[in-house]
Amino acid sequence: MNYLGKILAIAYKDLLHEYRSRETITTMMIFSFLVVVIFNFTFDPGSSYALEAAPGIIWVAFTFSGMLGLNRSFIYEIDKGCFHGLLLSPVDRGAIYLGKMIGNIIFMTIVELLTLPLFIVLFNLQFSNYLLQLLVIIVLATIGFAAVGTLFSAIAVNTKAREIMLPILLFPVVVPVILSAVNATGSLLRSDDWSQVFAWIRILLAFDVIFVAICYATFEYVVEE
Amino acid sequence: MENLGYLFAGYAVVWLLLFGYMFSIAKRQKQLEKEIELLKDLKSEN
Amino acid sequence: MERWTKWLGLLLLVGMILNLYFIFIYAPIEKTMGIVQKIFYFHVPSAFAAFLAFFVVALFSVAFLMKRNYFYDRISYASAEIGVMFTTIVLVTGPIWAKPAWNTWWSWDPRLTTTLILWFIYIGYLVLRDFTGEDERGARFAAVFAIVGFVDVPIVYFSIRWWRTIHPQPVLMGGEGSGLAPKMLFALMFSLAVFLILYFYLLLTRLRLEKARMDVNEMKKAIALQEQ
Repeated sequence: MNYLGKILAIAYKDLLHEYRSRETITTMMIFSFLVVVIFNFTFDPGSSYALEAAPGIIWVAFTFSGMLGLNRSFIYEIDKGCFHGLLLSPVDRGAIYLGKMIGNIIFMTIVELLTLPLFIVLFNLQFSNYLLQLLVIIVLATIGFAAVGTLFSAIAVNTKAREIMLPILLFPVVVPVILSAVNATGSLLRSDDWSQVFAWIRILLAFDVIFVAICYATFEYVVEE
Repeated sequence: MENLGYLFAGYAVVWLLLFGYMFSIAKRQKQLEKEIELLKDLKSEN
Repeated sequence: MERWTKWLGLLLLVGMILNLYFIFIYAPIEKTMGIVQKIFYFHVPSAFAAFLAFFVVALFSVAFLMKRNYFYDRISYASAEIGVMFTTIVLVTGPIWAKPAWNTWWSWDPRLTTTLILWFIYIGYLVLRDFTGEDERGARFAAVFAIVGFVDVPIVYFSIRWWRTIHPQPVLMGGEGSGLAPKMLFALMFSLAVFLILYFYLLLTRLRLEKARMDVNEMKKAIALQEQ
């Protein structure tokens, strides 16, 4: 098997496990729906504040549900003793990282795409003209979030506090991702000039490239044993 | 000169944090040294 | 090292007394902001010391992963704690100065906001160390986190700066260094030097603590072996 094949095999393993158990994505989705619905109570229906706060709310839903998924990502491996098997398999640590990261990206993207319609309906948004741009933003932000999140999840799972540790480590570091995603989405909603949206996409791209590289390089130090 | 209160508060916070931190280091150091003495006694007993 | 710390402490004491003289008596009172501007002479050097501390954390984290020398790891840990302390000073003195000077406690200015995020990142670092214990795994985790966190800082800064230019706001922090009178500049430079000494003094004291902790662990191990 070549390198790419190995990476995809690890991602496929995660997807298959999820397809059979359906624990993670279901939880993530319910959580994401709940966030969107609960935040609706903070405004009068149809008020103009709702539109201004919409980008923030949707990204809160995405990031918090993403956090749930990332936490599960290594916990089930460790609890069921699969992780040692994974480390013993004839692939290098970088491939394990990329495989797990791709799996996390796919989980998060599925949840995001399923939450989006609910969000559009509840907030009465007009996204139809910008759907493609919105998808680009969602995918880029998810890559950045999952790149750092997968590495930190591998760290957090080996500490005493596990689930509590991940958000404390992850949120400050992904501030640029959340900030860019929220503002790019807001720009789309206000139908701002394309150049403004693009400036945020540039930051997302830079973050993705830098952190996929750094996390790929440092992952081997996390799973040394 | 009406802002003297703010100035005082600013410097008070700095000194408080600084000495608080140094005090906490000293306290931890003392505790460890006590532990070292204890362990030395234990070692010579054996 | 003990003697070094003693001499450095003495130098620090003399420097700090001179520093206070330069700040409160030698440097003139700023015209528009009045006497609160004096906070500036502790605020800026604290920020400087914090950045230096975090740079040292990142540097020795890389060195630790390469060479696996635990002394490097201890330096990172000590420096992170000191950096958080300095950042806390920056974050508290900032609003105390901003309120009377510009009539607002907090502005989401790029520098201030980046400092806040920086504070969160290194608090995370300290919590992580707390939750992993003192084995080599904790050292590795902390080093990896420190490297990722450090690379993040410029990206955080640029994203926040871009955010603030899109939403225009009155310029609060503009021209800080530009109109500085020579005497003020001297006081600032002197204070920077004193804070540099303060950083190294704290680092040495904190490292002494780490050494004691390692000694305790060694002795415990030796005793455990004896009893076997």
